[in-house]
Order: sequence, then C-alpha cells, then structure tokens
Amino acid sequence: MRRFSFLNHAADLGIIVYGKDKKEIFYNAALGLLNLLYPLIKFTPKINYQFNFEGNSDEDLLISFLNKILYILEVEKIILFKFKFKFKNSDSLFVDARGDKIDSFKIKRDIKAATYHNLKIEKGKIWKTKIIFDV
Amino acid sequence: MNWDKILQRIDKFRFRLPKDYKNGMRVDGLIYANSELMESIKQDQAIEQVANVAFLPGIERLSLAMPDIHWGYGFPVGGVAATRVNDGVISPGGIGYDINCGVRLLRTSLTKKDIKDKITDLVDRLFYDIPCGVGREGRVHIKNNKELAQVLKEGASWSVKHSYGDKDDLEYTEAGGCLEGADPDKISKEAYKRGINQLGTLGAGNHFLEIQEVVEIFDKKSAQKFEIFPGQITILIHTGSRGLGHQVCTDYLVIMGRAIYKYAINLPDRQLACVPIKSQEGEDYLSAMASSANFAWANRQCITHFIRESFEKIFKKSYESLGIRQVYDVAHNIAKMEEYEIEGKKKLLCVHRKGATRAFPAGSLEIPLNYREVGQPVLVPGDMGRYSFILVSASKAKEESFSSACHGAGRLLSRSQARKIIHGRDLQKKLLEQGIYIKSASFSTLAEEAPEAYKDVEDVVDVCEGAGISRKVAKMKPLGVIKG
Repeated sequence: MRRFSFLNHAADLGIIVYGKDKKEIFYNAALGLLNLLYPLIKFTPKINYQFNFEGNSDEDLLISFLNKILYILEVEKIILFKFKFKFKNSDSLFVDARGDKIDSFKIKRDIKAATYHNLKIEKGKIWKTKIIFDV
Repeated sequence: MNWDKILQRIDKFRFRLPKDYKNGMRVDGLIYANSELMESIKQDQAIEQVANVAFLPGIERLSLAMPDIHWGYGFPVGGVAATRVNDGVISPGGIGYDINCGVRLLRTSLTKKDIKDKITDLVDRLFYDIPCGVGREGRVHIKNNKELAQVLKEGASWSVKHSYGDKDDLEYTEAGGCLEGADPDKISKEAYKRGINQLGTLGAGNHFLEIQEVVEIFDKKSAQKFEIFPGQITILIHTGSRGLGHQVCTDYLVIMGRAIYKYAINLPDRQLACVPIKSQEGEDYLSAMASSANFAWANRQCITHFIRESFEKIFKKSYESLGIRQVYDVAHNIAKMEEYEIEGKKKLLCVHRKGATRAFPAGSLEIPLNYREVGQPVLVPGDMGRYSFILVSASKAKEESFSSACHGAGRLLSRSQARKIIHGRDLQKKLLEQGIYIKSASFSTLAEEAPEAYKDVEDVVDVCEGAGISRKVAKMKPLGVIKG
C-alpha cells in the first residue's frame, strides 16, 4: 500500500496519507513530511526523544506531533524518522522517536507548520487523511 | 462548485457571496475581482474560505477578499475580517504563521546608469551579507533570552538602538515598528529557541530582497511625497517573524483549539480556531502576536542596515550620500485595533489582515507627517520577472475594506505544478537574458517562485484602483533578486 502522495495546493504543500490504522497514519504522515523536508538518504537512529501530546482529537494529536518534528529539525538540526506510538484514547499520545543529526544546508524547504485546515482522519479499511503545510 | 450560480456581481470589480450561501455565515462575503481574475479564483477553495471566515463571532459587515485572493489554510490568502472588540473574537489563523510578514521599501538617489555595471557585484554582496535560505543563522548576536525579550518589547527601535539603522526609519514604519501590548512572557521557550539565532535573516519560501528600477509614475503628487522618481533605484525587502512567529501561531492554535469548546464557538474549519478578544486566551495571544510583530520589524530593520552596508562596500560611499532612505514598511499578516464608523457609530474593531495591506487614507494621524496629504503607501510586490507597485490608499478603502488593499500578485500555479514545468537553473538563465540577475539559496524554491506561478500583479492592482480602495503611484521592475 502507498504510504502517502502529494496534493496540489495553491500557495502551500499538502500530502494525502494512507495507513491500515491510526499508528500507520501517524507514521506515514511523518514520512510524508520528511520527504518534503530532506533528501532521502540513509540515516542512523542515534538520538532518542520522547514526547507527550494532549489534544481533543486524533487530528489535534497528529498536528502537534508533526509540528514537533518541524521544531526539532529547526532548533536541534535533528531529523526524526523512527517512531513508536502509545495512544490513550484520542486525547493523549506518547511518542518514542529516534533520529539523526543533519546538515541544515541540505534542508529542502522552510515549512512553517502543519495546519489543521480541513483536517479529518478518515477511518475504515484503509485510513486516510489530507494535511496542508504552510510554506 | 458552480460559483456562477452563487456569486452576485455587484459591479466590474466586486462580487458578493451572500450569507445565505452557507448556514452559519454571519455576514456576506465581498470579493474584489474582475471577470478574468474571478475565473482563476473559482478554481480552488478560496471562495469557500471567504464563507468560512464569515462564521467568526462578532465579524462586522463583511468577510472581505482582496483581488490577490487564493486558497490558504483557514482564512484565504488575501482575506480581511474585522471583529468587534466588545463581543468579537481573535483568530490566529487570520494572521497566519508568519506574523507580521511584510514589506519594506528603500529608495536611493541612484539611477540605473549608476548601477548597471555593478548589479552582479551588488547582488552577490547582498547574498553574502544577508543570511537567507533554510537553516541560515543571523549575524545579529542576541546574548540570551533576556535580550531577546527586549527585542520583542521594542521592535525596530531595539535594532536602531543597537546601531542597525537610522532613527528616521522608525518614522516610516507602520506603528513606528513597535506594537503596544507586547509581552515576551506570553511566548513559549520553544519560540525563544527558534527566534534567538534568526534576527537579521531573510528566510526562504516567497521571501526575497529585490533591487528595482522605477519605470513608470502614475500619480506624480504622491510619488513626489514618497520621493520616488523615474529611473530611480529602489530596494524591496519581503520577510517576517521567522521561526519565532511560526511557533507562536502553532502554540496558540493548540490553546485556542481547546478554548473553542469552553466558549462554545462553532466553526467550519479547526484552523479558524478563535477566542473572545476580551478573554484571557485572547489577551495572551494579542500580547504574543505583538511581540512577534515587533521581532519582524526588528528583523527588517537589521536587514535594512545590512543592505546599506553592502551598498557602501560596492559604491565606496556612505549610505547617506547614496540616499538610501526608507519609503515605508508595512505588515500584511497582522491584526490591528482600529476605529471605524459603522452606521453612524464609532466602533473599535480588530482588523485581521491575512495577506492584505493596511491602506490608511490621507489625513490619518497614524501615517508619517510627510505623507498625510496623500495617504499611506501600500507596497505590492509582484513576481521576480515582472514588476512591483507602490499604491496609495484611496477613498473607498476606509468606508468599505476596513482600510485594506491587496498584498501581492497571488499564486496561479501550485508549487508542485511550478516545479514540474520550470527548472530553477533555466529560469535563472532566462531572467538574466531579460536583465534580471538572481541569486537563490535553492533552485527548487526558485522554480516554485517563478513568474509563471503568479498572476500578473498589474491585473490585481488595477482591480484595487477600479474598486477605489487604492491608486497606482509607481511601478518598479526588478534588476537583481535574492531568494531564500
């Protein structure tokens, strides 16, 4: 199954994310974002981060998670690419993330944030969501 | 969506989106466009977003869209909404992630003949002196968070105090380059971390620095007031509050996403999350937004100083003798408290401008004394291959558009469409053949920002002029461009 595809948006960038469940949606959304951010090269998972997120919905948790990836990239110059998720209903998420130091000059573009615009995680046999990033 | 059946044409330059289009709209939408621009506006979701903005509690009179409107996230880019301070809301999505993204125009006493043999050296020098692109840190050393907090409180005057610029620059900056009410304590430690190394950086995306030649004057009186003349070299800066502003918007959207339940606010798009202006969350956001806006003004002020230094190095003359002075600096992503007369009553409104420029009329006390006879300059960048404009506010702006006008050309192609048909290197070569020398930190960004990806900005400003919300003063063509 395809993990993500790109979406046309007038001013910004978007991805359509697919997965067999919530964990895959979160994982594949991160991979889609990383694809927009950095050249696809082999990384070594050297650095470990752990995060807790809270929100009112899965959508809130997804955006907080993606924005944390953007923050770590900009401030720490670390790309996070391996994740383990522990959900507690739709209002709490624990993420164990691993990543690698990057060369900040190789970052492909400045993505300001993942937005909530028309965001809905569609649940079913195949889970799906569309995410717009502000560029 | 068949918009032809829904939109009502008011005149050559206006379309109404009636509030009965969607249950929950509190006011009509008003879109400034001509027939041709409307055809491209109808292609994406921008009109739907005009309708969604009309849901905001306390919105006054109209959900407005400038002629450069295009699909954004939450608000359309080019959207304007004024909410009543008494019972209305503040929506961070109506300002955007790049708080106080804006433009600053510098004039010089140079003409094209003074610069034509030096343009390559000058652009190379500027590209070297002004950090741009992703991941570049600034040359302005901020010692610690305490010092950054001072920047957030003082805005452009912090930069001037630290020898980045001239006191006169402040007079020619919206709000003097410092919004009142800034409270650095309302900003997260993450936002501090993102901002501390980014002062004096241009950034990436659609941010740029352009050396231009004035090629046409439309309104001699206003041009004289702005000290703009044919053949003159001008410099246009487009940037904002960088990662600090992005983080502030991110943080407050989380806070407001929770608060909409508390205040029982029903919205069609979570990105429009908002709270009453007169609430703790609303006041906190406004203090954080003002701090971010001040960071952006300090940023453009430091860049102004670097530009002057670069010109001094190339021309071996002082910037004073080169006549490098500021025409104006104005935000196009911001919310401001402004007073308007609505049905005979004065009301204090919070005017959200998301990709729209304030356009205060002649006589306004908020604009520089020298300009009060003609009105506020409205700076409208176009694309890197064609031209940009200086406009001035016109009579209809105050009564109809909450003193707002357009902010740019508006996108025609998506970024991925642009990358498919345009190659950055080829574009650089093609523009050089047209006499425009470009340096970019990324060929991919260059392709995304190609002239073909944008509408013709002249069509956009002609609609503003036709609708009577601003008038053309001067047109500038690019000679050299730096892209992030």
